Amino acid sequence: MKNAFSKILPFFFITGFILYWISIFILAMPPNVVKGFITDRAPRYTSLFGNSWNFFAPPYTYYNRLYYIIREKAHPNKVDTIEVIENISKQKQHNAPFNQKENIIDHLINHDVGMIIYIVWNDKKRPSESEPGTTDSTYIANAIAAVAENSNYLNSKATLFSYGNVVLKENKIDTAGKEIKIVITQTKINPFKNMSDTTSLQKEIIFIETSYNPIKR
Amino acid sequence: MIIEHMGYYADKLQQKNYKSFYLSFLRVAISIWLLKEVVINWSAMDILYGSSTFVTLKSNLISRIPGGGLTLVRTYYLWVIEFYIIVILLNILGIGRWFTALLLFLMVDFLEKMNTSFVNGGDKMVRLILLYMIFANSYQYFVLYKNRKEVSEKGKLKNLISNLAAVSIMLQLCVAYFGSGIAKINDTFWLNGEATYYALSMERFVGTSLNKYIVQQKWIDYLTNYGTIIFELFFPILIWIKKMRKPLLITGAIFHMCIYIFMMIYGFEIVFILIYGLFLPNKMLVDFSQKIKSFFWKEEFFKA
Repeated sequence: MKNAFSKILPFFFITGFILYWISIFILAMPPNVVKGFITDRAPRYTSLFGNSWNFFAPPYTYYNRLYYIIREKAHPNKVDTIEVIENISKQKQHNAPFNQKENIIDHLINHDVGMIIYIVWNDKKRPSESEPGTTDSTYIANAIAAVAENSNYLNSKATLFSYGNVVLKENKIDTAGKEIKIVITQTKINPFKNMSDTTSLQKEIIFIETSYNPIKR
Repeated sequence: MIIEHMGYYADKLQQKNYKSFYLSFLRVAISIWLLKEVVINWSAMDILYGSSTFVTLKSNLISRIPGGGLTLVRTYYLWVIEFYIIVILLNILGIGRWFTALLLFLMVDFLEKMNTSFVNGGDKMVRLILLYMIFANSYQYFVLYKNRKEVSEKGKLKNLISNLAAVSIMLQLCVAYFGSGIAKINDTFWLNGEATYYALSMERFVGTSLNKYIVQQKWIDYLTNYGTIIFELFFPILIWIKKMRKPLLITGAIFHMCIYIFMMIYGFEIVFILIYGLFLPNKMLVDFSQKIKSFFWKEEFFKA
């Protein structure tokens, strides 16, 4: 009996191994029927073992910018503006290869900036030059309102507002009687076909604009 | 027919641990890599895991710890990190064997869930390597003390599981490359040969001042673009052909070193290159290690 069991056991392991690798291969592929079936039926299995490995596919074709706009409640016209992403990238380049602290901030901030843009604009037309009028505040406010209860959106927004407090401290900005809002923009990288045309400046388009929030002290 | 084939491989895989040397090396190398990550992240540990982090945790097992558990973990995050370092050291020395390997996997998974925003492809790959290493016998070399050799049925089964774990790590690399290659041929920018121009222009990934000159050379853009696709699609197929192995591994190492230098993507590249050794024959690696050993231990060396 013991001998029979030890003869069968290797077959079980090899069968399990083959089935596991078939599922992992399918999960690494672009969306398909079988992948959808596995993801729906076993979401935990998918998140534990299945990964999509699509490095830079598609590549980023634009620069993101994250602005913190701070104003005095009593004098709404008195405004301070701080952009952070370009600054972090420059520091990261300057300190390479010993740039882990900048690398960490870069990852944390860009992750949530990307997440917010994805959640808000994923299933909608983005404001663009080809659609006049789509960049106005009302259009953006409506797009944001549609996902206002989305927990991932709320988490990412909370992270960026928290980082705003760090930025204010670093820039030694007095926060008394002030409020803050976030603006995220995108500027396209010069298209491949016009790469050598350094004179053509791409237009910076507003993608996210929150309302003013009180500053937590 | 299928049963016969399975029987053949079941027998073959039980005979010995075919990757005993490199699995041991990989255990030590990945542990040192994890230790290196702790050291270079040390000044920002509080931002990553501590109470002064500005990151709002996404909903997962850690964020749902009842009774303010997350706040407690964040307050005493240094205890977690210290315990993590101890587990890494135990794994380097091979103390605790499979139990330590399991503990290390759980710790890495826990820390990744503590800050999911910071997890990149390299971290995901390390997590999966550690998962497979739980099943691998990586304790024949580089350990504080050795176990006696097992030749029983249990020992045979351990060989089988260890060999399957080693193949799993190799397959994981192949799946990552192939999945990435397939994603690229489904993308217009990659199909048109424009993608590396955009990737190298992205300010977050401008690793050297040379980048802006390199991307202006269209032939370099096309070469790197289509070269990447060909490499990622064909590596998983050709690597199993003996004659192709060395040129592919050398090409892969150069490919990853270029990404390391020109795109400032560091840890990720090292992890991928570390897996390459599993594709080399055990005997060759053992002989190579003996040569290194005899070089450093020969009498003339000490006399000099």
